Amino acid sequence: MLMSALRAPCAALLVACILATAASAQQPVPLAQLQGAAEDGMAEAQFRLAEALRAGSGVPQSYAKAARWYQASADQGFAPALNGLAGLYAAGLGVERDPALAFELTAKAAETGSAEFVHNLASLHESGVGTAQDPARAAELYERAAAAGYQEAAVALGVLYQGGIGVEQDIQRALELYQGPAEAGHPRAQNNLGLIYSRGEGIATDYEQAVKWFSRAAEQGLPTALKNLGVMYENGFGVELDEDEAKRLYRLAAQISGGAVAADAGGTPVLPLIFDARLAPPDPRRLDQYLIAARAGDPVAQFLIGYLSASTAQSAAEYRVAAGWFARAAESGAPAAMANLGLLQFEGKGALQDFVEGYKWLSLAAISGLPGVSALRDRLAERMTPDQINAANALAEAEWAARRAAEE
Amino acid sequence: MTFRPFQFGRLTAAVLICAALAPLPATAQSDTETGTMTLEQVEDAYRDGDFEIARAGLVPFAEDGQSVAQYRLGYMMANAIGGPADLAGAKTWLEKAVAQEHRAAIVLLARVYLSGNPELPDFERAAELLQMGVDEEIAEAGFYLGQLYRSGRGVDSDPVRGFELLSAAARAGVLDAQFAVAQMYSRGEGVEEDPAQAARWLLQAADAGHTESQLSLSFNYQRGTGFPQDEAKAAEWLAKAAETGSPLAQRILGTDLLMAEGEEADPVRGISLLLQAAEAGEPGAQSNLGFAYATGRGVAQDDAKAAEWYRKAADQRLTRAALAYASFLEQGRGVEQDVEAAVQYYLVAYTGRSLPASQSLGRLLVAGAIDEAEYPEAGLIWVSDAAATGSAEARDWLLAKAEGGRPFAYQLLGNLYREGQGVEADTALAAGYYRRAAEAGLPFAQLQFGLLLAAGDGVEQNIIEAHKWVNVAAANGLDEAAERRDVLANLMTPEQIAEAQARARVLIPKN
Repeated sequence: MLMSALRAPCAALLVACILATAASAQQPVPLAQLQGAAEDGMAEAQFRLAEALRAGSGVPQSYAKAARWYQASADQGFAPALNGLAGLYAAGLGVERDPALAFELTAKAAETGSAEFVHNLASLHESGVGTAQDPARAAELYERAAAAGYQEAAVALGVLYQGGIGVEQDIQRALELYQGPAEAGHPRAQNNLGLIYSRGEGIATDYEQAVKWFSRAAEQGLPTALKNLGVMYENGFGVELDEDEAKRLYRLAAQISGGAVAADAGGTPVLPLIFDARLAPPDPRRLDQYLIAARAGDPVAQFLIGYLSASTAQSAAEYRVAAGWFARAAESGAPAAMANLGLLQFEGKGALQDFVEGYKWLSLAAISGLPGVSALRDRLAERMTPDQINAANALAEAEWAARRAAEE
Repeated sequence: MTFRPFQFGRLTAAVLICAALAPLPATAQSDTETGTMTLEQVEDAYRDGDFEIARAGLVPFAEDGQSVAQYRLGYMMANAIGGPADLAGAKTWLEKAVAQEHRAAIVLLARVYLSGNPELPDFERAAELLQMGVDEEIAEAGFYLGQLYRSGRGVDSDPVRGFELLSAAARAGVLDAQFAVAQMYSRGEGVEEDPAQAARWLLQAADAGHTESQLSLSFNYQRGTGFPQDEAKAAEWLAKAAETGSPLAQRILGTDLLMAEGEEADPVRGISLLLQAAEAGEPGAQSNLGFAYATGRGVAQDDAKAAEWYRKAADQRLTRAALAYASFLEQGRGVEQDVEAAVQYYLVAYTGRSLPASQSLGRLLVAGAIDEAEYPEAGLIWVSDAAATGSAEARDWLLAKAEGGRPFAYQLLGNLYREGQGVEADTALAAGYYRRAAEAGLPFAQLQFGLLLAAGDGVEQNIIEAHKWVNVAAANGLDEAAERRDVLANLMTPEQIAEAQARARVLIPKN
């Protein structure tokens, strides 16, 4: 059976959408200036400071502090801050979870007419967060945001048309709505387009097209698309029948959805270790040299050994060695070592599985702005409770403060 | 007349296993007279078996520079004929003979170098000589040189060249070479894999009486590898290999004949074959002969002889023989009772993973015949194996150890009660013991306790506690635990996992 059309998971979606905006809003203004302006009461500065605190880039991530600055900005009616604060209340990050308040804040933000905020409001109606579930109202709002060119809204609306939820089922309309985002690389749109072609609902079945779209979504690591592509291989629909390939795809899908695993270029599941691109690639033949330097306390050498060990580790004992070296380098403040230590703790490889500790280290690593770290942290965080994330925030802040104090 | 083989080292033992030396070559009579004997008198002495006289008599002629005498003297020294083996002396004389282009000395000298004697580790010189032999078209030289190219000793490893040399020697009728060529065809070593060619050469060598080939052929027919499976042919070739002197074949066939029932049984021939192999030092045959004497099968029951044969095999570290001899020693059966010696042989058998040996050691340990302090880890396992046979004393002993501060004993008790080994299975008791071992930090017990908690087996089901213990076991390095933890997590809410992790955190020091 092919999976049903993919909709975004509700609360996680909201957070993810907002985080995505935060990540794209790179503020060139130094944090100290931002802080000053925020304290002077400038709404936009307050908002941007909140965004920085939420992303944990340049400062330790603190949802609690972010919430306070969002609130200050929102109190002045600054719509993006209303939207951001709503996200924290919906998820219970840095504040007590309060869906009703989240809905109220989102509705207020949407009054500005911003397509993004209208979409967020629609998703709350669709999933019934802080309000009664109302797919018809959601569809109306999505329609409005989609018309303004907001891709997420088009995909979400496509799902409603495909399933006939809150609207009259209209596969042709769904197909049109998915087409643009799919071509622009939106994996859920691609997967759902694949489903329409494979089922032939309302249009002629076209397995080649289905395989093409499933493949494109699968290449981006979308587990559902991997499974759907597996079904195509298992039955020989639009491809040469290949049960081994089907099994491989199912396995990969399970691994990706069950943990931090990503797929490498060859489709083999790998642990998404972070490498610091400023360093020369580690050379296994120089391991002896690294060891000498590492034992003498060189954090770069410690990191390189940890990286080499973790890249080839098969057993818990080998991961333990890697975790040990990452821990030593992390104590010296090497961000990539912190990130990988966090990853190993998250996955419970060579260390006790401990999401809070893992998140703490990933957050500390993210402060430096090392590429890929905050995205990895946020992906892993999907398995955590808000309490765990808040606790990890507090631990990272305390650790950061202690390190700053030690430096001064 | 048979010659004692060389003492071959690691490398050459396999290579030279069947290379019988040619008898002393008859050469043209010589009237040369040196010292007290004529060369003719020396030859007479050799033919009459007066080897010491012959060996002494050759010396003056060799010193006089006669290459034939140098060769013969070297030959006798290398083969310990007429006096002890003297490889260094053989080397000296054979080098002189080779320097005078004495053809027969070439391969013999090379073999002296290949003998594995640590004082003559000159593979390069051996290879040089063998190449000389190949140039002289001595087929045997091609065999030895081919083996050097296969193993890369004295020359750069080159299986293709090795195959060329060996197949030339094989075509020239060198049986060892035919066997080697068969091996290379079947493995695709130095030549394209070709089962048909492998079979052809193996059959040819076996037909010509090559023991190793006959045995190999028998195995191939037995297993259907390279040949159609054929029990009758397997038996036929096994019998031939036994006849041509393979101790392994003699042991297998002898044992079959001894143990068979009905018409196929031939205990007399079985014992005779086992005796031949046992006297050649084959440990399995020695042990089986011990068994025959112990049980009176095919021979008059005789504990002393049984003990003696078991001992010989046990001293070669054959596990089953060590176990049997240990029990003879412990009981004073066929040999003076000696519990201390028995323990040593039980230890040999235990090293060979014999469970009965472990159980006996456990029994002796509980009885106080072994000093536990010498075996602090293994001792607990032995006693646990003894307890698994139902020994209440062993169980009580384990419990006392556990309560006295050895948590590993709790883990072992947990195993016994969970599996119902030597006791009625009781998962509630098992869970209790595992819990204590888990709390003391033993990863295996942590995993087992966690799994019982997850299943609610012997203990109230508690998925959070289960996740906690399995996670801790994984952090302590148990690979299986990491997989189990991730399976458990699939059944849990994020809140449950968070709680389990928080409880685990206090049990494990941070990285």
